[in-house]
Amino acid sequence: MGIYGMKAACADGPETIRRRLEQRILPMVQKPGRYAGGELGAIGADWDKTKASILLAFPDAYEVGMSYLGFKILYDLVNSHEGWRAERAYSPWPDMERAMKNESVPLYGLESLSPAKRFDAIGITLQYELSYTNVLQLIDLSGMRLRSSERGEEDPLVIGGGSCTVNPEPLAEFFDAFLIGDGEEAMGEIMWILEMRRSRTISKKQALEALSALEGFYVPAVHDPSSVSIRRRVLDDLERFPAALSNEVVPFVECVHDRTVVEVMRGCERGCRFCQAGYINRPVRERKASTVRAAALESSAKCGYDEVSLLSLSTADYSAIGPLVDRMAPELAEKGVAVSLPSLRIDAFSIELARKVGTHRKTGLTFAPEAGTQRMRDIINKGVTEEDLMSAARAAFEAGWEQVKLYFMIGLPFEALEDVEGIADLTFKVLALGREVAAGKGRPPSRIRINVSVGTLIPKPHTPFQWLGLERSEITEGKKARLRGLMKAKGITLSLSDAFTSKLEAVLSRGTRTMAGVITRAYELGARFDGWGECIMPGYWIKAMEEAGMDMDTEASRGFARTERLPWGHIDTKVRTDFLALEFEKARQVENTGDCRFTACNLCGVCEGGIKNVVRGPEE
Amino acid sequence: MAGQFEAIRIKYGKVGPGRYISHLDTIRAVERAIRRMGLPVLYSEGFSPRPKMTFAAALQVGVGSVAEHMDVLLERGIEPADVLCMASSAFPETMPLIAVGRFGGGYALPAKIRRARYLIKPFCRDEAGWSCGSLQDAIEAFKATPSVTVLGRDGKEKDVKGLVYAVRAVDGALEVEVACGDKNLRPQYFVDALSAVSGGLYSGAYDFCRTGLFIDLGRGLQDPMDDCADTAFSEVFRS
Repeated sequence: MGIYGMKAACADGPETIRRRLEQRILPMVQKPGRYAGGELGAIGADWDKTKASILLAFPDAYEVGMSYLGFKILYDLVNSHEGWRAERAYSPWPDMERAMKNESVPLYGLESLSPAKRFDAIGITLQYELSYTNVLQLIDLSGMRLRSSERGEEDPLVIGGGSCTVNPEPLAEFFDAFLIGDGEEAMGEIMWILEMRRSRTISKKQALEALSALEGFYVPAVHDPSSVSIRRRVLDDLERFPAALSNEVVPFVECVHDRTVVEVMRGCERGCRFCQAGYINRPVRERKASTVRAAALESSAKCGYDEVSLLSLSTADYSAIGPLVDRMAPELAEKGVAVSLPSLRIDAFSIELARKVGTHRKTGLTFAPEAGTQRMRDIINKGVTEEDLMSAARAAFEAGWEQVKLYFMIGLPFEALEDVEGIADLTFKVLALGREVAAGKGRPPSRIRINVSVGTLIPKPHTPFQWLGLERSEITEGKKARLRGLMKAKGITLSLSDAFTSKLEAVLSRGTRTMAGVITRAYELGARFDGWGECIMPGYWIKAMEEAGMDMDTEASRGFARTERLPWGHIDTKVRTDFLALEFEKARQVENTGDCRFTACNLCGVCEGGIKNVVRGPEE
Repeated sequence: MAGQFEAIRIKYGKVGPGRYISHLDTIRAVERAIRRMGLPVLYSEGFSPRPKMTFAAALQVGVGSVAEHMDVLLERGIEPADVLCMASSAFPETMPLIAVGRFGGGYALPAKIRRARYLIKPFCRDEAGWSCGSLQDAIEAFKATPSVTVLGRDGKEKDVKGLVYAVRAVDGALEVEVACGDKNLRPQYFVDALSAVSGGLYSGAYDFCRTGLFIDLGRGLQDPMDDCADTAFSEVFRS
């Protein structure tokens, strides 16, 4: 049993939950709209003819979860199929969690207010490690035991997906299965198995065995991590699934992103060596520009948002982006809808795009040179030069932007103090350039603002830096102090990442199965919403680590020998380990690796059996 | 061309989970609904153009309504009946359109709002202390008390008596007319006051619903829709 002991509540149906919500809970909590359902586009409450059901649960606040495209896609995919049902749930904020506990209301689906246990499965997405205690909260509030091995035959299957599944071990004891990789095809397979489960054609054990036989699924109860190899599931062509969603929920409560999202491409081949997303989502698969445009028009008309975002890891790299924006932006502008591009490169072309779409006027522009010196940028394979940054910044200032955000990282391998100081140099150069351009145009130079954000490298699994530990915090703190000293200047705002949060993220992302006890203990002590600066409580984690006989600093900075089996060694992202090792060697040699869309194949190993880069180019 | 526009007045409700939508979220939801409808609405100038709409009076989170009003400026005239038709699928079920009329302009709606009417019921009717008889007693006690103040959420004393214009018991529920506009009274404060003078009404949560909103154009209080022409009513709410 979890810490709530809510078994009794789970017998209650939607009517009891509704009554308790209306009478006792919603009048008392902040932003009750997050817990009430009834949004436009949500499916109805009728369970008649349901052959299989899944509760898509997001381990963070409603406002965050409602903005996540992956669940929008899966919600539509399941609910478009007759007899299948997907509902939504999000982590309740601490006040709501207390109220639910006091009134014995379990986690429920927002569509029908059905308790989580009514569903055949609970699908939890793992987008960032700092949501792990919320994962436990979702399972616990469902009225189930946290550990898979202690749950019963009648309990829903708990299935995890999302980018953190590339190292599933810290959560392996809590989940019945993980899907590693793209979810579109696999979701259908899950639902077929759930159908058999619901009709009692197969037992829970048989369902897990069936899942374990499918590509991309890791079932801890069946697979032995020391010998198995789980191949990541890769969708060969995004066009096999529609870009326009027929079942899309439009929230009332203001969310992180209130906009129509169309994925223009999946994967990125730029090969930045610190970037996990760039390795675990290969290869590049573009959608057709015509599909993107049609989906943007249809979906924005149906949902009524005033913004359409063209999503990918690097949208300026989408081969048809120029003509697509030229065509779409005016069409949408007529309807009062703007286009936004969430990820831009550092070049004049990107600035021109940003200028055309106009939405970045309000928010300002963000550039990510990532490192302060050319040597360091070559080490991380960020193919950007100082000239690129200066010409992009010049274009931005000339187009009228007065605020620019620069993103850097410290704690990179082979980093010297001069590389850190280079961050300040580069910032001052951009500031001087901005003032010069402003003065030349007769605008007050004092209006130019540079916001500098400096993160700490967390060496993530399945990247060339995976063998390294987190840099010892005393070293990183020294670098931060140096930056603080250098960047005290009018017009510059410096923000630095929090040392404890970085350590926790490192420990959770690089951890082994032994972390399960630590996560459980931190959860029991009260850790929730660890990704929220206002919520994270280091004390809970430090105590939990101590009780397990572990030291946070040691665990965070633990590296692995090239010959060691890594904690995530059983997950095969299709990128060869040899390739990652070679990339690390090239980093040491300060050598670049090209983008295989434009230069030769780098033999990373992803392309095989019909899986390859899909670059479509502009259409006629 | 400046100054040429058509205006419509829309009456809509907040039902079921709709009661939990805050005022700012309501404005955003209506903006989206208007875009979904393809209504030729006038937009403000600037980097982030907003549809030109005016809302009558903010509604507290948690309070339902069948009497929300707003005015929308359009580029060209549209038959109110057609607007109602366009809105049928664009407005969420929890925020249904009730009526649409042509509005001649000349004043800002929020400036003319004077009064709101609420229907107040306990969510759970079988709780002790809430019956028609005791309601009537509580109302009499309230009327007999010269001044009633309650402690507001901001920690300040609120004078309730001066802002309550009418109160009666209707079929086991309270119907109250209170100040709205320049002066405002949250229906919760009225219930708190009633509870205070009658020695406790009911301990649970209340189901509040705004059932009427009244404007003063110098001809006595009237329903905002009465100052409209060609008003079309939704089938669902015609009764």
